Amino acid sequence: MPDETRAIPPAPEALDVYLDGLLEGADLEAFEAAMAADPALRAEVELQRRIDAALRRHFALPEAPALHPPAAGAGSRYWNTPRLLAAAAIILLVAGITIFGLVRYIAADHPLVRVYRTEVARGLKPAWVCDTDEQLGAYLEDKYGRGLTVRGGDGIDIIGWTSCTALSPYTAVLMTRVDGEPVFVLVDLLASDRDLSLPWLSGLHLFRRELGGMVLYELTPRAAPVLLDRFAEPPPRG
Amino acid sequence: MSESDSSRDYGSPPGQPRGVLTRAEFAAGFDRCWKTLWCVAAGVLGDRTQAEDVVQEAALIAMDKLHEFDPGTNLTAWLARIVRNVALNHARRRKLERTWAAAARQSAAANPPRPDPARAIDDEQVISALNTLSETARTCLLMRTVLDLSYKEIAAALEIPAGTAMSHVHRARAALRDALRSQAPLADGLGGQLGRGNPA
Repeated sequence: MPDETRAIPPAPEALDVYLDGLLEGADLEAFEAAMAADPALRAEVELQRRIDAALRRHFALPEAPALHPPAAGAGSRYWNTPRLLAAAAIILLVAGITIFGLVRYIAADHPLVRVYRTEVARGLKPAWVCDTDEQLGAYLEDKYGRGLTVRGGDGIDIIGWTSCTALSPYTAVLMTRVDGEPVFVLVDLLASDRDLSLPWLSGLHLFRRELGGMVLYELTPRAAPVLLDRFAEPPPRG
Repeated sequence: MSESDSSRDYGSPPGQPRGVLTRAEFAAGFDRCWKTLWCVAAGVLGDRTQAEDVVQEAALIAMDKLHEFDPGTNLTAWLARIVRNVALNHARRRKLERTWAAAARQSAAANPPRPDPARAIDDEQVISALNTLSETARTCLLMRTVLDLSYKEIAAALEIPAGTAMSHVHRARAALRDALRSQAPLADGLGGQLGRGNPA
């Protein structure tokens, strides 16, 4: 690097030029002679060499790093793994909420679900109330030509009857509360029965029973039926 | 490292349109200058432990921004700017972590490690003195001492005048000698002679 070579300036600048290895020929000899004559200068050079050695030790170069360029067209480095996972989670969450809401919206339009929610929203106000087995038998016989009885029980609050068109224009709906939850039983002639099912995510369950030429469907938010087994045919008239 | 490595023009031949570096060209350029970049990272951080990570991170950022690089300019200088920014971010984060770990550090300081008697100067003291310098001075000194780069090469990589690079190195050396003069062991015969520049 001859362009950086220059004559020995007075100390201490000469020391740096010497340390940079830029002294040559007579300049170098003169500096080395000065060093030999000046123990302090010699010590200064030695100290700097030890500092340099310490720096080289501590900052020893690592192995050449392997550069792994992402494939062409790969996403920006901004999209590292945590960000990708977070973005994926947000997308899944939004998609899940959207699908859930859509399905719930569609489910709410199902006839059985609509009947259940409408009556619950109205506060379970029956169109007909039977206080005795006889009144119940008469009500059903009047509608279908045959009667049924239903037993109450602990936690079961039989509220009364309304109607819907789930099976026929004359489907009767018994509204009850079981442990405070609204539970309905749809009653109609077996001849009017058709395939009933609930949509996904309606939040309701449907259970079926046939009894004495009648068909009963328990429409309930509970996982198991409570009321179907409480229905019975009326005793023969004697 | 030769001078041409750090100051090479990656531009297209005359008469041909300039374009964006391909990833292969970038990788080849990175291979030529990674030592300089590592020194920049170590210089800014004042430590070697995270320097490699910083260079890798900077390389990935650079690959994402290849379209911003003008092939007619100095790739090493462009990468060094990115490395410096990434290293400064690391340094800020580390400073924050240190704030939280202040109690632990104070505890450790109560029992400082003993200097290695086999070495004339303890490396930790050198690093400690090094960290009192500005990040530019540290970087210049490391590039000169560890990589043996010329002042022109340092100047090209850091985009500063060569005279400034030289001045940084000379002042950094003097500062380290001042800081460590009293640390040199007496047993090697230097202790009584290292009074240069120390009026006391």
